[in-house]
Amino acid sequence: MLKSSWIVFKKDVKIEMKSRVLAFQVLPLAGAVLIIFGFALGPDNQVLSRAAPGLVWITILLVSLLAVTRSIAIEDEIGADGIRLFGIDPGGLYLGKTMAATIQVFLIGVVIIFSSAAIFNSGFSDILSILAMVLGGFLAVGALCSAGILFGMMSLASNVRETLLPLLFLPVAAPVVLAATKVSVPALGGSKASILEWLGVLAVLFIAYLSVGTVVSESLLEEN
Amino acid sequence: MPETIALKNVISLVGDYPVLAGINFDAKNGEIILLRGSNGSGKTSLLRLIAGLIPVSRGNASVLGISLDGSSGNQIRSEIGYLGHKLPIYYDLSGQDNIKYFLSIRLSQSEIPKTSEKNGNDYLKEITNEALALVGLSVKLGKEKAGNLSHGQKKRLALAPILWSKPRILLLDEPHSGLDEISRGVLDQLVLDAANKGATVIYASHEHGANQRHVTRVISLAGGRVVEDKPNA
Repeated sequence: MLKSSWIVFKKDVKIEMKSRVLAFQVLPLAGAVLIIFGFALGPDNQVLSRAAPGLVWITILLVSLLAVTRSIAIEDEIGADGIRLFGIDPGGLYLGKTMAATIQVFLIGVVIIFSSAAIFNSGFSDILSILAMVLGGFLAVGALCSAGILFGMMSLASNVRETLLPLLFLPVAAPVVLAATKVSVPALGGSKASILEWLGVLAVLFIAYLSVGTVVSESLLEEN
Repeated sequence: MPETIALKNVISLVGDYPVLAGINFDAKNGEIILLRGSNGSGKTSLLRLIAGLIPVSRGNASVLGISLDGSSGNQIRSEIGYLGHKLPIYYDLSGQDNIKYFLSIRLSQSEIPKTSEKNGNDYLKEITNEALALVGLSVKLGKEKAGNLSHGQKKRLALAPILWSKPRILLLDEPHSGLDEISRGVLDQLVLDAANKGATVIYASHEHGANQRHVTRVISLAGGRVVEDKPNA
């Protein structure tokens, strides 16, 4: 499974490097969303900096959803039949796609966080809080992509994937976004209370979603 | 000659609808069989059933000596090459990268030289070029983005890893659709080569004028049943 996940990971990264859909379409969209939020909240610095962590994570949630949809659309090019006929291990496919999506969304997330500091005028606090936010960000993005790719694989053969995927994805993404927002508050100038607890919540969610996805994905493609 | 495919009174239900309604069919090594029938006659369903992609609801079916049931699909798929309506191609990757990906997935670890990472990569590159040559695509064309290739070239690209794997059964669903005469000729030659190497080839076509030069048997389907099975004159 690990070998095939590595092959799938390399293929997905190569496709993104050639198509640059996430870099040239999703990243500018995320920037536009942040700017619109900024205009909507008005020029009050206090309001902007208080809202920044939540708005950043809503934007990253949107990016994750688009990245997962794109990742599954790539597989739709060969279809569930193609995946089964070429003997692609479903667990390896799931892990490879999750790894690739996580790294891509995480990199976009880093750009979003730094852009938000400028747009919302929130600035950064101490280095430890920033490190906690980076670690929490990785765990959160990993959890979002683990759940998203699983639901994406479930809806691979469905002709209502575009609407089904967000419907399945958003309820399980809600606790991740909540915890990630709490972890980001100190780094963006807020209170440092209970940051470790929220990091723990993110780690549990990431491990739980990834484990369930790896186990469940084995039977998904046969059922498709 | 041993039967590679044997279906007796096979019914396959998708939901409650019988896509195959009592099929009797067998095939031997080296045969090239043309499945004919109008849209909805069951050609694609029969190919998908043989490939283990849809279930046998009733009746007896065996492929390569393995009885088709819920869990046997994976066992036979490595021996089957299937080219359906949807071509197994990632359009943003080059032809070479597509073939490399599918071959890396298909090959077991033991088949790739493992003395060093470079050797493994060299081997993959070598067999990728072999697969390209097998379908008459140049290395230069293989470096092109797959999405930029013509329809005929895409079909040949999709066939490259399938033919390289030397499948014992080759299933082609409407392989001639959208191809000009020259591309059809190239495809027919590839099919003939595969059959000469011992593969059982079954292809589906709804075109009455489909090229039957190499075909050994013609089977007509209607309503999910075989209505005619005769040697090609």
